[in-house]
Amino acid sequence: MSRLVRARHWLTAVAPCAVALAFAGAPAKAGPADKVDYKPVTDQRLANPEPENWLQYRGNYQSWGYSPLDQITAKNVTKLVPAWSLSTGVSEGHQAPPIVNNGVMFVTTPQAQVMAINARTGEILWRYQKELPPELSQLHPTNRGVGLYGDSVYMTTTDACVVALGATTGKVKWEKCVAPWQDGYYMTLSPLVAKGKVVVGVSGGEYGVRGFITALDAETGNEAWKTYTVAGPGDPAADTWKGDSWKTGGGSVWIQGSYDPAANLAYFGTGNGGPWTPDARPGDNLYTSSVVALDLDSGKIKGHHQYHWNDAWDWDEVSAPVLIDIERDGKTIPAAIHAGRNGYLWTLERSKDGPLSFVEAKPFVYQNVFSSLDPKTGRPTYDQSKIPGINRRAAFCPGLWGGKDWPPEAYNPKTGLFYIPSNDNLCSELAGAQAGTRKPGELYIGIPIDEVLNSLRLRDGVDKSKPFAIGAIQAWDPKTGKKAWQHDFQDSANWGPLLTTGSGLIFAGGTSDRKFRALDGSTGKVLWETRLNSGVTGVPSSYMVDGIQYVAVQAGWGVDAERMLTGINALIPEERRVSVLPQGGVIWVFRVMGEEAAAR
Amino acid sequence: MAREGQRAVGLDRRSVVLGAAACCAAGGAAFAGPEELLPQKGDRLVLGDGAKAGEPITLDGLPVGGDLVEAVAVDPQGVRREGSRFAKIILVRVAPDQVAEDQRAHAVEGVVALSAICTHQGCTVSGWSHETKRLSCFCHHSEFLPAEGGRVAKGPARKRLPVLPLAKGEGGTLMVAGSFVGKPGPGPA
Repeated sequence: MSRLVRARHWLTAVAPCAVALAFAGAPAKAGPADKVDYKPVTDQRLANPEPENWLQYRGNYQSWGYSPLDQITAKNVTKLVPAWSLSTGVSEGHQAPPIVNNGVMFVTTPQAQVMAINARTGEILWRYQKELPPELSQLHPTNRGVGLYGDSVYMTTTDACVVALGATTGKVKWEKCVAPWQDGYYMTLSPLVAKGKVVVGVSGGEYGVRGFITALDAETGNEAWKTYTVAGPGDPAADTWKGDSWKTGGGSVWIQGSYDPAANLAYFGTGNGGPWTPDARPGDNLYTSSVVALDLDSGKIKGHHQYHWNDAWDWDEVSAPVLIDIERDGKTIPAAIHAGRNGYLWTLERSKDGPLSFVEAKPFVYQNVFSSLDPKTGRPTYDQSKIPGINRRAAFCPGLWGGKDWPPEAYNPKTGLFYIPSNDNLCSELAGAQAGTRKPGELYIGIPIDEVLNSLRLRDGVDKSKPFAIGAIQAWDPKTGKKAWQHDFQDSANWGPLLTTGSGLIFAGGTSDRKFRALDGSTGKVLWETRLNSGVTGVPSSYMVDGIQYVAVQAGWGVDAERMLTGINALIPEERRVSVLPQGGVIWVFRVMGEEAAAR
Repeated sequence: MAREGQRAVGLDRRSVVLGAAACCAAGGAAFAGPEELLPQKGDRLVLGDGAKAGEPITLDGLPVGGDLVEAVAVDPQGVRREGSRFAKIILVRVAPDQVAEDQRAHAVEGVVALSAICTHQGCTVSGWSHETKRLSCFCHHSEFLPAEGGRVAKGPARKRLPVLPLAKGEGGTLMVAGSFVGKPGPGPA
C-alpha cells in the first residue's frame, strides 16, 4: 500500500470522530471579538444601512454599491494612504468585499476562509477555514463575501455548503450542504439574508447541473424552499426545454440577489444554459440568462425576464439587477437595471406583484449577434451566422467573457449615474461538438477544450500595433438612457467591481497593471491611483470608525481575470504583454492622511 | 491574539462511512476496498471512456499523434479502481525518442501515463496538443509536458502531473508498473 493511500485511510478513519467531537465541543473561549460592541444585524438595518457600515455584498438590498460617506473627496483623495493591510494567506481570486458592522470587518477568501478583523486597526479577531474535500475540483476558487444576520455570519463554500458562524466567536453554529459537490455543484456567492432566511444559489452549469436557488432558515439551516432556475416538469415554462435537456440545463446562480423589502421580492440573475452548444437544448431554456423575481417567503417565481434565449455564447447574466426608481417622461419607473454579459444595458420595470416588463435596451459595447430587439418585449433576434453550435463554427462579439462579466455595476444617487465595468473590442470564435454522456463532476460543455482556450479574437478593425482600449468604466444616465462618459484602459481588460461614494467618487481596480484607482464620478477623470501587491478583482467597500472614513478592498488576481489575461497576451505584441501578475491575497484599507485631526 | 476555528467537514459519504466504521465500530485500522486504492503494480489498463469503454488498452490502439485517452486501472481480480478521483489516468503517445531520457523507464514505446487530476485546483486534465506536446486543463489553463515527467509548462499549476509507470503486457496491452511518481491532486511544487 502506498504512503498516499495509507494517509487517505487514516484521514477517512479519524475524520468522523473529529466531527463528532466538534459537535460535542466545549464552549467557545472568550476572544477579543467578544469585547467588541457587536451590533446585531436586523431586517431594519439591512433595509436602511447606516452610512458608516457596509452590511452586505453591495452595501444595500438594491445592489447600488454605494456608500453615503463623503469624508474622502475629490480634493483630499490624493492624500489616501494605507491604514493597514493583511495577507489572507491564500492565492486565487479574491473577490469578496470587506463587510463591516460597527467596526468589525468580515472578509471571505478562496479556500472557504472567513476572517473577522478590527476594522480600525487590522487586528484579527478570529479566523475560520472550512476543510474542503481533498478530491474537490475548483473551477472557480473564489468567494464573494459573507451575509450578516443577528449575531451570525454566513458563508457559502465551493463544496456547495453554507456555514453559519457566531459573529463574535467564529464558532460554527450550523452547516448545511445544499447539493453534492461530487455531482459538480458548488457555490461562490454571498448569501442574501432577509426575514430570517439565508438565500443562496448553486453554480455548476459547466458540469451539467440543474441550477437552483434555495432559502435556509437563518437559525437552523433547515431548508425553507428550493426553486430551480431550469424549468422542469410542472413549471409553466417547462416547454422551453425539449426532452431531458432540462436535467443538465445549467442556469447557475453566481451572485447575491437584490431584494425589495416592500414587495418582498428577491431578484437573482441566472447563468447560461448547459451544455454551451444551443442545439443540444432547443428552446428558449427558461430561466437561463434571465432575471427571476422570487417571493422571499415561498420561493415562487413571480416574474422573470430572459435577456437572451437559447444562449450559445456562455453569456450568463449573473449580476442581480440594480434596483432604482428612475424618472422617464415625467413618470417614476421602479426599474431593474442590468449591464448584460450580452453587451446590452437593460432597463426593466418592476411591479409589486413580480412581473417584469421591458423598457429599453441598448448596446454598451460592440455587439454583432442581436440583429434586432422586439420593441415591446425586448426579445432579441439573432444573426444566424453568429451562433456557434455542434459542428458549427461561428465568431461573435463580445466574446465569451461578454461586455461585462460578474464584476458589479454601481449607482450613485447624488451623481444620478449608473456605472459599468465593461470590456470591448474582444470577440470569440467557437465550434462545438457532441457533449457525449455526462459524468458527474466532470466538464460538460460540448466545446472541445482547445477551442475554448484559443477562442479569444480581436474585433475586426482593431489595430493591435499600438495600445487599444479593452476595459473601461462607463457612466450612463438612467433618466435619459444616454452615456455620460467613459474612461478606457489600454491593453487591459477591466475586472474591477465598482464602489461609488457620497462625495461622488468611484473606486475600482480590475486592470492587469495591479492599480487601484479613484475616479471622479461626474467626469471619469482619474484622481488617484496606487499599485498593489496583485491585481484587484475584489469588491471595494467603504465604512467609518471613530469618525474616519476608510476604503477597503482585496487584491488577489485569479480565476477568470487570469484566464482572460492569458488570452489577451496571445493577441498583443510581446512587449506589451503582462507576463507576470503574481497571485496572493491582501486586504488593503485606505484612509486620508491627517484626516483624523480634522475629524476631531 | 487571533483564534482559529477549523474542523473536518464536507466529507463525502464514502469517507464518512469508512471512517465511522473504523473509529466507532471496528476500533482498529480502516481497510478500504481495492476500488478505493490508487493504481498498483500489476494492474492492467482499460479504456475509461467512449464506445469501447472497459476494453483493454493496447499499443495498437494508441497511434502516435492520436488523441488523449482516459484509462482505468483494473486489479488482477477485475476490480476497477474508480473509487477515488485521484485514481484517474490519462494516456498520450509520442515518438519514443521524444520521451525524456529520465522518463523512458516509465513509458512503453512512447506511451506515457499520468494522473488526470490537475495539480492546481483538482480539475480533470483533458486537453492534449500533439503539436506542442502539451496537456492542458480547462479550468485555469495550466499546461503540462507529459514526455518530460509531467513538468509544468505553464501555470498557474506549480506541481508536476504525476507519472504512472507503465509496462508492456501480453498482446501489447498496458500494465501498471508502479505507483504514481508523486502525489496526485493539488499541492505545493
